[in-house]
Amino acid sequence: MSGAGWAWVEHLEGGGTTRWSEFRASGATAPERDRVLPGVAQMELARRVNLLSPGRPHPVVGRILATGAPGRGPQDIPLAGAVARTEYGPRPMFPRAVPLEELVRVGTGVLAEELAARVPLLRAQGATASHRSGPPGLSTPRGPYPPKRWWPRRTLRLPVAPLDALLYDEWVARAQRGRVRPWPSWMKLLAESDRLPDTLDLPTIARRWDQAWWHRVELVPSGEVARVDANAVAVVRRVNTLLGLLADEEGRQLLTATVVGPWLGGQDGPRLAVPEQHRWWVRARATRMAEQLADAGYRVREDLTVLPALDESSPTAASMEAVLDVTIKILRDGWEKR
Amino acid sequence: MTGKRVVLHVGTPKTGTSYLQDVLFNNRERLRSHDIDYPADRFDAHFLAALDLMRLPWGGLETEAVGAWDEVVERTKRWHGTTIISHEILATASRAHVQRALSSLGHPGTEVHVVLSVRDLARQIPAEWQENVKHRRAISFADFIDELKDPDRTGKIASWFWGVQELPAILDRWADQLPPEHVHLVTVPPPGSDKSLLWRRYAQAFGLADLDLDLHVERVNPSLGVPETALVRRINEAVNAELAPAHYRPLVRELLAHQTLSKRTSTPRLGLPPDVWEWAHGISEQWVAMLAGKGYDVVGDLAELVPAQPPEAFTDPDSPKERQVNRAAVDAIKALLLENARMREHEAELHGRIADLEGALERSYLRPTYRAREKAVRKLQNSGGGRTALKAYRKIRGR
Repeated sequence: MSGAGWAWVEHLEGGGTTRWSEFRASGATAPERDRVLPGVAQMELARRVNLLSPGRPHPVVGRILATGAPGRGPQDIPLAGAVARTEYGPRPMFPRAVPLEELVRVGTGVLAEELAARVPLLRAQGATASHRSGPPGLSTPRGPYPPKRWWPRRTLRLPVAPLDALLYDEWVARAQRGRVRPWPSWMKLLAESDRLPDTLDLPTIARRWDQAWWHRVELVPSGEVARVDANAVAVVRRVNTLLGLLADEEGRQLLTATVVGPWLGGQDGPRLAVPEQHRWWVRARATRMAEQLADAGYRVREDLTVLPALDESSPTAASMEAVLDVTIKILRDGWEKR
Repeated sequence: MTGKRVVLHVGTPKTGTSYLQDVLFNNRERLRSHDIDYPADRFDAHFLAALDLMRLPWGGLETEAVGAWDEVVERTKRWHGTTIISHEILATASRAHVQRALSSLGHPGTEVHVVLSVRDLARQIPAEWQENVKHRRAISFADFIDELKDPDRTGKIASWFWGVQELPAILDRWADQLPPEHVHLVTVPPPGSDKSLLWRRYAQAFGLADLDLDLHVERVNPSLGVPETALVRRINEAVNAELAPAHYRPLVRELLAHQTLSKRTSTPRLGLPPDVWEWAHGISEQWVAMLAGKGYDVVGDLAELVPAQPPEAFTDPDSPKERQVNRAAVDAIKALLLENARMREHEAELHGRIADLEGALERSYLRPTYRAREKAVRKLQNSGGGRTALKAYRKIRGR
């Protein structure tokens, strides 16, 4: 029965893009190999990778077919029509029924393995992780922060922007560094615990700087900063979580500085808005923040009412279809092509 | 035992595995003198190795697991005799992970044995739900069972549960490439059996029966009763958003669940409602029929995998008796108060030590030589030449 399944594997390895339903109808078979047929998620992902350049075999397809899905979730889902249903184990599934999340799971697993394999070469090339890479943050203070005693510049320019945009930037920065929750779940955690990240506590940052009598704070417009595509961040977030298992801290920093960060910096696209149920909290915190900054008497070059002006039109979660598209593009073209 | 071989204990959870692993870890030296190596420098070394092998993130712990599987394999290759590797989450390994595990261990050149310890589903289902609750989940028992019964098994709870508990599927993955006599099933004895019986079965499966080992262990993973589990679930709902994992583990899982609430043994125990018991009973009978014909080495009795008799009474943990939960809560508050008092005493002691250190530092500042040096530094800092000289001096001294 799995002869047809192995024939589809052969077809995929050769760059084939035919759907399983059509392929199966053709009656093609191939000898069984000395291992179990790859899972349906692996095979469907391989087909979708081939769709980018049909008929041209790509080495990543072989790696996809040989890799187990990382993390929690179903393993080795059998291909319906090629593997008989047993009385136990996961039910065989047709490729069209495989959740997109599963395809992304397999794909980001392969991406993480490939990235980890680059670390020894990066080290041999003397790459360093000392410079900041990737997209610039809206909230990064311009000036000497944290305060340094003998620093000659004495004015800290603190960019002011809508609080939801600042939160999104902080989330993107965390996704680049390593493990972070998905955006909706991160927002829920912040709202329920009524806590902003330290980096966005503008009144405290300003107060700390302003305490030294020779220093002063200016609140300035954040300016136009390119938005980072939320779907690209979703891929990086998943890959970085897995890299925690595959590379040490220094290796992960190297990859962020030299591969993932530069790639993400080129991924302009729609950002995410705060989920509706948490907007009242973000607005309340932003209003309170604006009041605290206004009361402190800093020099203000930006209207502080921008802080609670939230974006309500952007999506509130990444689109799994778009996340899969990004994953497939990197699998096929690598991180260097933007 | 003689000759090089690897014994891989791959599960299942809730079958006394922590006890076995602690005995193996505590007796490492003694085992080595009998040509048996348990390659671990910390009690959870094989847990980290399993995370690495299966590419399984685990709440941030995975960063400690980088290269852990390869380390265990290296030690295995260097050892001349038997090596034991044991962790229950290995049960959920995919075929690709199993393939990597066996190849890295040198199979088929190296003789590999797989041990699977197994217990009946009527005990495993409530035990796994309780384990979920002790890992911060707030899912009700009814919803947990509904997820397990969902034939699609798409949820994370169901895919994990069946991944580590569905015995024929686990053996399909782990035993597929091994001769059946190299596959050992250790059945957990039914409730009320002699407490040492499970260890004796483990000892037989691992070839430890004739060894004089220290069987005392400190770390335990005791079970909770119905009101206690219900209480921890309510605590999870209340604290999940605010309590960091680093604090949850010592305060809720260890202090409250393991050290306090598990001592309340007179409350109703967790079990299955009658209809779920019937369902589990049917699955177990199927499994036993499938396993019986495989020719595996069974240590114990496969019949023990079939739940013996329906429960006399079922106490629903989703609707516990509030009086019992309140009593458990009072015990929990007492434990937290005592722990808080201990921490306050510890804090006071640390403040005392800081004051002593500050006093000693102050006295050293008051010494005439220190004051003379301080005066010289101040004077040098007031002139450009002095600052240059000071900088050069510090550079020479490497400061």
